[in-house]
Amino acid sequence: MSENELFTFVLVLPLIWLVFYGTLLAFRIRVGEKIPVIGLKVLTGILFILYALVMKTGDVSISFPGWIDIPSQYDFPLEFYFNRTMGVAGLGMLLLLSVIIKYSESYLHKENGFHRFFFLLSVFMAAFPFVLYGDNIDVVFIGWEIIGITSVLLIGFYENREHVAVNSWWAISTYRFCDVGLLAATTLAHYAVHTTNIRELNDPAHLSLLHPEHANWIFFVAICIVFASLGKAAQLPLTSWITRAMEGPTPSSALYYGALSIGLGPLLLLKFRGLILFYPSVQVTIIFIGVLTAIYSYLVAKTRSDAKSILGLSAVFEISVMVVEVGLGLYHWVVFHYVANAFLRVFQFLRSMNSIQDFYDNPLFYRGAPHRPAPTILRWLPESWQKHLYYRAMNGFGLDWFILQVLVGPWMRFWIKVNRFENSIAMGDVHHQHVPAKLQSDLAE
Amino acid sequence: MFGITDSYFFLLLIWTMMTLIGLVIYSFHQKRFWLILSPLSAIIGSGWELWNHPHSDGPLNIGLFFLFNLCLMRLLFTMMLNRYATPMKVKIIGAASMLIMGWAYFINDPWVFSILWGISVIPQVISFTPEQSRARNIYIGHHVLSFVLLIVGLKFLSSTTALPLDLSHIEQLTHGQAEHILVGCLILAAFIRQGVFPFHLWFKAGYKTLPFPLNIGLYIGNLGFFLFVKTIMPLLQGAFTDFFPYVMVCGIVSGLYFANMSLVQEKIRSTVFYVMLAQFSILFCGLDSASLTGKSGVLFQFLSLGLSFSGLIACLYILEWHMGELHSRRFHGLQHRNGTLSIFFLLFSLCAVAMPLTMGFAGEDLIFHAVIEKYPFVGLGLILTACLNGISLFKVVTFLFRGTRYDSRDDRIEFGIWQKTALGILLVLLFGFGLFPNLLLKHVLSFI
Amino acid sequence: MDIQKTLNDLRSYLPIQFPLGVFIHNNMLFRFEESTFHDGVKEAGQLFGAQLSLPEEYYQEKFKAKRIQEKNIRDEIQRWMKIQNLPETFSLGRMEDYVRQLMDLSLSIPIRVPEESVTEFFERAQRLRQPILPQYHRREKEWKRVFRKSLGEDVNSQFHPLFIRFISAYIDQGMSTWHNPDTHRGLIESFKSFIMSNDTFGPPWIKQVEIELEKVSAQTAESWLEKNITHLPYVAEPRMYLLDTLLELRGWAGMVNKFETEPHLMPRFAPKISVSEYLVVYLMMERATHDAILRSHSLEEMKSYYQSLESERLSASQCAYVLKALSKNYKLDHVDEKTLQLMLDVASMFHSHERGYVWQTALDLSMRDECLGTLASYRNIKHPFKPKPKAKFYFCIDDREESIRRILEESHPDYETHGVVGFFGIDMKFKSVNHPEPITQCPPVVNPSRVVEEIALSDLPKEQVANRRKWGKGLYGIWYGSRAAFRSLPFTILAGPVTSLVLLLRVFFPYFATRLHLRLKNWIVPPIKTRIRFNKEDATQGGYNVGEMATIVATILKFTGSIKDFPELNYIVAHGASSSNNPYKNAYGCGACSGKAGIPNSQIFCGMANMPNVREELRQKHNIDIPSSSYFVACYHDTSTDEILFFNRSDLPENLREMADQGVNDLREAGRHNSLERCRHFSSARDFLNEKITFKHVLDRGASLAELRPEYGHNNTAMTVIGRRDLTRGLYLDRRSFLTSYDASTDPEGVTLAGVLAGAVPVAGGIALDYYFSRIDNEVYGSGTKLPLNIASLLGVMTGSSSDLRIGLARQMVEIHEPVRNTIVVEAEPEVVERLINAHGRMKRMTHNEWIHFAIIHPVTGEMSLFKDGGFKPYKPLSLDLARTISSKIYAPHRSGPLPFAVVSEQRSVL
Repeated sequence: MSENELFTFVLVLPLIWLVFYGTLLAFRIRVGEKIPVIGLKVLTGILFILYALVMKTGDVSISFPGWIDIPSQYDFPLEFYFNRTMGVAGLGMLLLLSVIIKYSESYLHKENGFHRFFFLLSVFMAAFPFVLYGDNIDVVFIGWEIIGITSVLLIGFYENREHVAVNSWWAISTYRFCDVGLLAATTLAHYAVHTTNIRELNDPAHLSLLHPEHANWIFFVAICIVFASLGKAAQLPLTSWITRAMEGPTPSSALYYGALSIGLGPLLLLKFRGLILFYPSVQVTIIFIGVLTAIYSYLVAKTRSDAKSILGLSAVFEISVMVVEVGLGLYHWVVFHYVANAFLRVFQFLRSMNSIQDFYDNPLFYRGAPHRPAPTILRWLPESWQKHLYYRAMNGFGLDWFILQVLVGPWMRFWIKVNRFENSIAMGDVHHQHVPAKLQSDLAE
Repeated sequence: MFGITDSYFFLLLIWTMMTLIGLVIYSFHQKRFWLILSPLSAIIGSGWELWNHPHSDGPLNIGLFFLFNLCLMRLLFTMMLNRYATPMKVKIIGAASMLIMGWAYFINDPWVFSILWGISVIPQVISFTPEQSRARNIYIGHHVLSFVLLIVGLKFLSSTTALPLDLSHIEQLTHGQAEHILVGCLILAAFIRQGVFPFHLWFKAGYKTLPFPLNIGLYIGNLGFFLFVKTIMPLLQGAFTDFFPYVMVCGIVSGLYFANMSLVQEKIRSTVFYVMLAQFSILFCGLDSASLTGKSGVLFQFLSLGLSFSGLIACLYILEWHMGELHSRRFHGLQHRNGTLSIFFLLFSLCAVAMPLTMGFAGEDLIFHAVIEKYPFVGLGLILTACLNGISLFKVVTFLFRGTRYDSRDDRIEFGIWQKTALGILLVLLFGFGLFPNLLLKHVLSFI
Repeated sequence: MDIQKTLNDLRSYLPIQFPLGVFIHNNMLFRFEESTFHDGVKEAGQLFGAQLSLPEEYYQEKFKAKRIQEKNIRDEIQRWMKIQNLPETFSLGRMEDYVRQLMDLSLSIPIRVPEESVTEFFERAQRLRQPILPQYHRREKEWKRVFRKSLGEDVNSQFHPLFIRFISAYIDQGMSTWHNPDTHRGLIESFKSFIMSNDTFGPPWIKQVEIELEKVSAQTAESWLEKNITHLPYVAEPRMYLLDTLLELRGWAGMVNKFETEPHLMPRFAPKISVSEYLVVYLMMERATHDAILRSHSLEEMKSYYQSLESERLSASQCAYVLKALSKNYKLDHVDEKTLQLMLDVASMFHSHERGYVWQTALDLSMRDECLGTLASYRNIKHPFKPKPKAKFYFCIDDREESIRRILEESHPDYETHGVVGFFGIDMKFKSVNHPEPITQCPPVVNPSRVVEEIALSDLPKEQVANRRKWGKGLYGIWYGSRAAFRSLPFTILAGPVTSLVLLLRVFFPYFATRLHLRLKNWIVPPIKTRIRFNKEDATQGGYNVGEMATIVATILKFTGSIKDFPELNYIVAHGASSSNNPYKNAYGCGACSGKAGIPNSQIFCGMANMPNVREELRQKHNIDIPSSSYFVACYHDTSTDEILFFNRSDLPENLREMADQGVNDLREAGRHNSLERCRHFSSARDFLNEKITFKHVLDRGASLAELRPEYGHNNTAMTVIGRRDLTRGLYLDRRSFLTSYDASTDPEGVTLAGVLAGAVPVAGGIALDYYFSRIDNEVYGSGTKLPLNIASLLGVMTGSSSDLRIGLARQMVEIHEPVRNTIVVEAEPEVVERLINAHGRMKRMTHNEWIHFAIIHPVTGEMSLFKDGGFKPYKPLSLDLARTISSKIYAPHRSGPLPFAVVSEQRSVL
């Protein structure tokens, strides 16, 4: 089998499993707890072998033209490109998934959302290679958005609790708001340089020669890509959703917000390194955002006192360091850091329930043991400053307030006034409380 | 007769007979099968016609496409709603307005077309109850204005040209000052009927007071959109290209306006309708790009929106019929006992806001690329509208199905075989064409 | 209103749960034990907004499986009808049968019933008066319900996340790296500095709180409360409002109350905090949010809510639906209006919650009757003559030990097992070598009298002590270093690949990984040979003198009535549990040793009993003569992995060593079969064929990270038998009964009986009630499912990112539990028992208010009497023909769920 076929199998196999498992669930066939687990284990086994074979050959690129094509005007090919750096991230994902599947097998035993969890896990497994190996911004966008939606559905796993619903709504608003960036990048790239292929986009000098009149649009494409990576990687302006995302079962929080889904930001920047690092101003903004988020998450994580939000913010700290690494151009380093952080965070998440026992086993943990003062780096600050910084960090430096009261609040209040004005014209009473006539007649009988 | 080619005339005749017979038999013994008969016959007829010989006579079979879409909507609605959901009177009025619009799709004679355009509003106006006079007045006001504008547009159009005006051969018109006004009137008439930004108040008055399916039937019938595609597009492409920027601006402004309004509604029903208005106004922008990609994307997206919103609104109607008014800031907690309904509702809302691997994504992708070709900033506005729609529809899903219900009464909504088949068809179409969009695209291309 | 008195009164409503590190089962509704069980449960249900029973389908299944007797259902219906004072009969027959049919019908009225579907009953239903359907509002304050219903604004979700983060950081025991600098100055001072430093970019309500805060300080918290509580706009009745405020976050409030009243329980330190300061901060934030919401919303939006306030009546079509459902059982065609109205009212009154509670009490009483019936009918079966026992085993009274004792006696009839209190009478705080702080090893009701030290045999070499500190520092370094510290960068890069290996090992080969970890720890910090200095002479501090030692040994031996003819070997078997990744690890431990393993207790007891001068004291003072040839052996049984440990083998004389080894091997054999019996509840292990895989699986279960159910603990506990082992020897009790050995003949006036009752009854009753309520409503009385749990400040668990501190047991710990009250059966004279019960305060409350079923078997005549409304009444037990089986191994089928009790016939060793 040539490596092209191997690579197509790597992409298509999870989709086949997804369709099979989806039809089983759709037709309510009594599927016990064994089938999804065995199926996923076999799938990861086969994928390991395929990865080993494909990794041997190195760079492979395949394309399926004509997914959507209008003769002579618009063509949307499904292009994929496999190289070793992304292959390492793919292998890391597979190893982690096999651990999570084995872990969830007994962890979710007799849980009424069992099949929903494993179905969403299979969807994640099918969508992740689209982002890793997608060679076309549209293909990356498909994988990107599906992972976003599975992550939101996993946050809202326990549908009977109301604050879980509100937190999942936080997450989807951040994801959708940042997906605008990726969609805009696709369309602008197509408009300016008539190609959305990532490898071609990665040398903008050549492109600006080909299309001199739209050269400055390429700069906008770079900005859109950076904007898209902020949401998933919870970088500074949009970091408040990460601590709210810990509502789902522990294995899904570990997989998404400890390791893989939060790491998609730097991975996206890594894929577009050529395009982004061509413009020094974009490079500076990336480094600036990374450093700022590192400091922010460092301080806020120190003040948090529950296991999962500390781990979530530590993952954000690692991701912001990766973003800085991408900014500085250390590409191979980023992938290694990504996989190492993935394993460490997943391990810490899966063991997070053992924290009480860990502290009780420690001989230095006894009544009266001195508690930890401020972090060493801040000790040179005067006492009042340290306390001020502590309470600021506990409130998250007012980031939630800034987003809710300054950005979203006024915009919503304006539109509420417009809606009231419109109601008064159309219906006569501002709040339109009366029940429509037809329903009233039914209910009043 | 009335300028309809005989094969279509025969199809329309069967369809009307089926509807009347179905209604009569249904009034005796309430079997749902008889109601399904009429839309099913239309779908099979127009579907067969579209699939086999699409090139027969150019733009004329646009009507087939619209008829196929309308009847598919009607079929799904009848299958979804249980027997008691709509009293007999509402069923008859709904069937009547559907028939009128069906015939209007194929009429080429402008006067008969404008008469049908006017008549199709009357069933809705009758069903207003006396105390909703304000809403009725707004409703009548808007539609009379659109009717008048249509008459004015068509009158001037026919008087200035030598040959008897036939809606299908419209491009040969000369480019003159008088024609500018009349094309403007035509566009305004289409905008009013389709509920573009400044003229959508009739729709808001209607959906808060009218019986549910009647009002939505009128909107989904899209005579305004049909008029735009059939007559106004050839005009704009031919002689009056300078109208394009104005129509584009109307489209993008109404898209953004409706998307933002849907975020702040107090009732779940109004949130869903505003999202629908926003998505349909994106279609107008796609049309104005006047490129092959744009037009094919628009027709593709038109079918996908029709499907996903019919599923969404049918589920919503069942919920409203059971639960009464659904407030958009209270948790109704329906997931506990209505698991399947919540899954279907979630999938439809994802299709409606163009989630990848669904039909909506392919259509919207085409439209965005077409629009950005001509106006990049308008394209970015469209992308923002799609994003806001996604957020507000997910908010609807969250507040409808999440949370716990503190009520000892049983809120399990019966989900029989009819409902399951209807929603199964919908999902197969939405995800089928989503995974392989080219299948449908080939046929859509053949119309334009 | 005297605020101090009210607060002290309200304190008792708060949960009594200790921090998770020292978790102990106890009755969650401790406060409500003053009133009877039924009233207490109803009142608590109202107050906490909790369900009173499981859904009806659960009981209908139980009824089909004959776990619920019809007689008990009828009694319950009678009781319910008396409360609702319904007429005894009505025109269509007896009211009791009608209510019984309603239970089988389990009618649930749909929200919307169209008229066309119920035409035949519709016009008659219109003429009837439509009853009001009882609504179940969620537990919240009145003004918050108005805001939520009319404005759609959830007041709590706006200030709770920040408030919870503030409280959790304040009382944090070490989870956060950067500690709150103001814990010594009080909560209000800390809140002041929080407000001052966040006034610019802070939440909207901060400005208003700033002015209010000047007037309050830590001392004046009570006076501020007294002044301000009355004129808050939305407070109708101050005391009730304060109680609602406390119950909104009752987990956190309960923990703050524990900090104030019992600071010594806290693992590391207790900051300066009090419930009044907690209330001040809470009310201030709540008031500010209330004003902020009112500013942004207009009042007439709320008027629409008041229009729809009238209670929802059933609509006529819904009444017709009810009549149509009833018409299946009764001919309603020509029934008069009054009966129809009565039937309709009863049907709407007897809705799902009431029906569930009747089913639940019926299940409870049926279980009691089955237990007493089994014991009575087992007494008449003839017992063969018992030879002089070759060895005696002393186990804890725990119901999980019942199965291993039964298997041991089946395989070796010449062994005799007894049940004694798990801490073996040693009330001490044990300071082990490698933990700096003494841990209590006696029940929470007993306060430890002294500290017993464990010292190394050879004096510790200098660097071993340093090693221990390095190991501690290393653990801290890894914990804090790998979380958002600049050190975490190199740590992630270096440790990343290593953690991948450790992660794979811990998930795929759990038992092997724990063994590896232990070997690594022993290599760095080698275990030292230790000796426990419990004797007063050679102990520097603590220790017991000979007299005290003699009394301890005597009390335990007198419990079991073994005064003379001791066998050569007596095994003292303590128990504990091993589970990883489980915040409730302490719940599985030995309740008598406050959740810890009972190893030091059994070693000390054997040490005492083997001392010659203690035996001399016993012979003189307590006339118990232990021959010099018999020895006491200390063992330990791990209830999660069924491992058996054998201590101080070297202290035994030469000739007894291999006999002791033989005894311990028999115990290990019994442990293996015990794990086989336990595995029928685990669906992943149920259908393993050969035993090897099952034992391996059980070992893995204790060590695995992914296992939420290391063992099922006290699931299905139903009975406590305090009497001679002959009452229950050879009975297959399916691990459902606490077994305490007590021989009434050796203790006529009931001196030891007082100690036995005080040890066993509150503990067994508390455990059963804890499991009962956590099973009935797992969201309010329990802590929900374990999956989203998130450890908060090393004290408890929250669900998800931020919620109330969760109280009670998780769903996975109680999912197969049959919720019943514990049936205590004492084999003694009724007058003696009655006297002892009335002497002990808690037992008196629990028995008189029927929080436990208390029954007595007369030791000689054997007829039973049951405690009912104030006194012991004679009770005629059910005559059950018990199933017979040759051995326990065959009897248990390969499925989960409680089994009827059975007799393991004639002790012939067939295993």
